Amino acid sequence: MFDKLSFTDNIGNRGNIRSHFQQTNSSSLERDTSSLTSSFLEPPENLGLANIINNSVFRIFSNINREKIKVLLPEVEFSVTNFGQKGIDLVILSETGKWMLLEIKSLKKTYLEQESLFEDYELTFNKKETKRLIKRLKEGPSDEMKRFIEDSIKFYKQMKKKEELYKQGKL
Amino acid sequence: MIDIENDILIREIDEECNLKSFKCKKDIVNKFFYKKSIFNNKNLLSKVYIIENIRNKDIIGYFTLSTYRLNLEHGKKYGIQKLPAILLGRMGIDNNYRGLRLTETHIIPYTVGVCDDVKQNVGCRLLIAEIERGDQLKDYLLEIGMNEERITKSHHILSVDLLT
Repeated sequence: MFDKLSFTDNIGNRGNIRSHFQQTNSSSLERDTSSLTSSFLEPPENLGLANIINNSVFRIFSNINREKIKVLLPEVEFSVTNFGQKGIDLVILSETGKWMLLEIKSLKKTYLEQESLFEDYELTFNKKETKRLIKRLKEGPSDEMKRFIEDSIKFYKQMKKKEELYKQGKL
Repeated sequence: MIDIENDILIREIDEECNLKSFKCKKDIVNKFFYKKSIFNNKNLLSKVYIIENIRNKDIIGYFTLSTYRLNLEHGKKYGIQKLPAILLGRMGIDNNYRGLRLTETHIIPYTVGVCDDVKQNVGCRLLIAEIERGDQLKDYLLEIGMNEERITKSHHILSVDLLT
């Protein structure tokens, strides 16, 4: 299945999956493309977060990114494609469909309960938050914070020296 | 209070660490540590640092640092639309070492020190910390001058301006 669905090479590429497949010359890919695209248009079962396209292809909704999937399911091979369709971010491929389904359900639960623990790597500030932050950035950190930063740098350097001594067996 | 100051070392995690010596009150923090910390560190998904008791090799705590970005809506008129940052994400202190205020005295200062190293070479203006709601650490961080950027249903998102 992974060989046939070799669009995994294009992880992270933006674009429509159909146009992506149309650009591929592989005959085996073309053969799979029609079934895949039709499946994508009419997902057979809606599970909320994930739609099972077939036993090996999952369509994931919401903004879960591939880093999160990698962290949670490091042993699973998958591909990520941004289709340009609202709400569709990922396609996960697995030859063990049922197992993946369970994992995705679990992932959904965990994600909803502990969203901040997944390190989103980015955060979007609204207009009010932006204005407030920009104002502070123009002012710079307070004197109190500058002192804290200076003290912290000293602490860090001391700890790095301690680490060196420890590595040398001198502690 | 246990006097362990001289025995504490903060360093990057490695495969020789006795992961199972660590257990905190949060299962998800434990689970990450046991199953993902070395993988993440090795693959540079995040850097994982441990606080270690060098006398008995106990892992006292751990924390993770990763790159982060603030997208600023309507920031164009200020000339800043994206702001590079570092995220202090997961943190945990072993049950046997709780109450020693190690987050205040060790994790936060060490993290700020790492940020200073980073900002010398890579654009990075803010340190972002996620503090669970109800954690008194938040009050301490506000006292020392951190700013509260947002409150979510589970966390306070605080920042430090690294410009000095």
